[in-house]
Amino acid sequence: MKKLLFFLLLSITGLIISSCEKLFIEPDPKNTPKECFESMWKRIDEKYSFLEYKHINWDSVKAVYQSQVHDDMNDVELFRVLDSMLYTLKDGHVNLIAPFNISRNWEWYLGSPQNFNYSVLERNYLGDNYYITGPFKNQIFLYNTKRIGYFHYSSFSDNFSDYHLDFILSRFSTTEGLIIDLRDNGGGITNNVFKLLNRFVKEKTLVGRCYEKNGKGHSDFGIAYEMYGEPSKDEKGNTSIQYLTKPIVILTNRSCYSACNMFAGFMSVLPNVKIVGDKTGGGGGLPTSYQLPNGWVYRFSSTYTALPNGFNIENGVPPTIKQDMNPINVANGIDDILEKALQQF
Amino acid sequence: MRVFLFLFMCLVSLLSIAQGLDTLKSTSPDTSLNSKIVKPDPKIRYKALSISIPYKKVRDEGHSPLTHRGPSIQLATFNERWRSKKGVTRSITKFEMVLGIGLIRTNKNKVSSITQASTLYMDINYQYMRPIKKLFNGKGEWFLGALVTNTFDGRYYTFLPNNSFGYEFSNVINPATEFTYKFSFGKIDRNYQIGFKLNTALLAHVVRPNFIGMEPAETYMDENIKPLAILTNGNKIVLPNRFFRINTEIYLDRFKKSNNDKFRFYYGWGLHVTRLPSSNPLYVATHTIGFVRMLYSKKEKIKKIN
Repeated sequence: MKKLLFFLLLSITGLIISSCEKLFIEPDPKNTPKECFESMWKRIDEKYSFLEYKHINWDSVKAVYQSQVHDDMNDVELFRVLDSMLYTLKDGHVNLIAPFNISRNWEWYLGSPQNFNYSVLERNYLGDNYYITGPFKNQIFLYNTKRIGYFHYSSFSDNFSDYHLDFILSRFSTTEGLIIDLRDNGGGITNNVFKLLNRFVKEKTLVGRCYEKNGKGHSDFGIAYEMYGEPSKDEKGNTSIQYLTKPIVILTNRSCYSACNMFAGFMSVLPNVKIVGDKTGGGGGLPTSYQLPNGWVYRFSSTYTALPNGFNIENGVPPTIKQDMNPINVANGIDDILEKALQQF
Repeated sequence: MRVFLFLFMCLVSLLSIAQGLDTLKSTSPDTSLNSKIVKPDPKIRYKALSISIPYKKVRDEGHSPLTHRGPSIQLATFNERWRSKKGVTRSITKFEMVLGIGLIRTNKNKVSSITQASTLYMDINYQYMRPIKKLFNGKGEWFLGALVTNTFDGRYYTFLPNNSFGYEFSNVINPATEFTYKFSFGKIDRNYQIGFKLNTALLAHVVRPNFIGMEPAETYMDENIKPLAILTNGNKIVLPNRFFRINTEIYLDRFKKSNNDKFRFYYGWGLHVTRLPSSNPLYVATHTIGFVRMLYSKKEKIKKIN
């Protein structure tokens, strides 16, 4: 009897302990439009990194859109309201992803001239004998008897190897300048930013600082992560082939976003670099993503990046020389931005 | 500082693992300086393989406000060593390695869009227990001891575009207790034992990033120290108010009378909560049923000592 009581007691203890699970893990939030709205508003309020920088009164935004949410609305109606609320952030890194649609704010490039026409570039400048080295389309232009190296990189999501860069920079070793065409480069992997940047820095150079949103207040950021460009080295420890002393011109347009925006900003720190074209599209925050109680996913910026002089690159990096493409010239096969770049050498 | 803490806790973990590995080796019997033949205490060891099905409920608020739940497959192997002196058990040490994979998903009745994540976790545990008291005329026994756990708990949220990888790495010291009771049924040629185990975290070293997105530390750190930076980001030494974990297990062992090999069926329940000030909380509840095959080995050597 004593044994039975003892193990009965142990079993009851076990059951009591296992039932306390509910004390620690709260039930899932309800899948209602109001809960979804509240969850998203609160998360953005606490974690989004640009509310203060962009002078957005997030409480006022709530007041405007909360009244449009009611529990008997359908998914499409809810999506429209949440989309409209997120649109006020004016951020290309902000999206709401539902099974039937993805919301976005692409004003940063749709509201500006495109300033790039690949057909004009290919037919009138690159010709039919340009090299395609990994993701880089490259050519050597002859301009006023000067040899100018040129490559176009269309996405930082496209990976490249050291061999690709070694080949291109060897090919350009006898040129008198270099044009890096980043127009229509929508960003991608930030590691590629540094991999490319490291071929253009003579020594370890501070190129920017990243600040992480780490508190609930709109200005609560952690300490800066300093970002450096550093000459890359090969497997034997020797410095890789670089392009250092000659002038470099970077071509940008408003579709140059996120990682591309960072690259343009970081390169602008170097003394031999000019940016020609339009202001970059921006996107200086690293995005994070989260979920709504109904299962939809949304993402938003949670850091900000500044150049060493403190300039926040969220809204884009301004060009050294502003140049737009004239539609009439485009029709005649002229790339005004590339022409302007060639004039710099 | 972070790197130092991380390396220090790794050292502690390695020492505990080394101690665990030591249980795999044989040791010299108790020797006497007298030149005579002595019969040392036998070395008793169980080598075991286990397969189990944990059902996990995970709510990682760094990634989702929703609870993801689902089954895993867990494989484990352990080596349990009984040390005795003059026929009396003095201690039981156990070195265990666990590997589990699984798939967790949101409750389809509660969301309009189901999401899922894959899980991978690995444990290396070392346990030391001492018998404290015999109960019920020697048929029952109460043990007390401690358990050191080294755990990597990772999840891959496929539906998140930027911060899809969630993980927590922990080294934990847990006080532990166990009750056992042996019994048999008349003519049936088997012995049985039931047991109840409980352990709870006392002191933990935790690595849990805040998962705000692509971590700046991961993105911008020097390539050479990036792996270490990733591992040490969110590095803390904490008490149960920040890292709470409790595990219980009820088991039934069946012995063969002939060679003492064991077959164990068990049900385990565990709860784990991490609430670090720098990151969103993590809640995990686990219900496990499993089987263990334990192979008994007893070696008695007669050695002449000079």
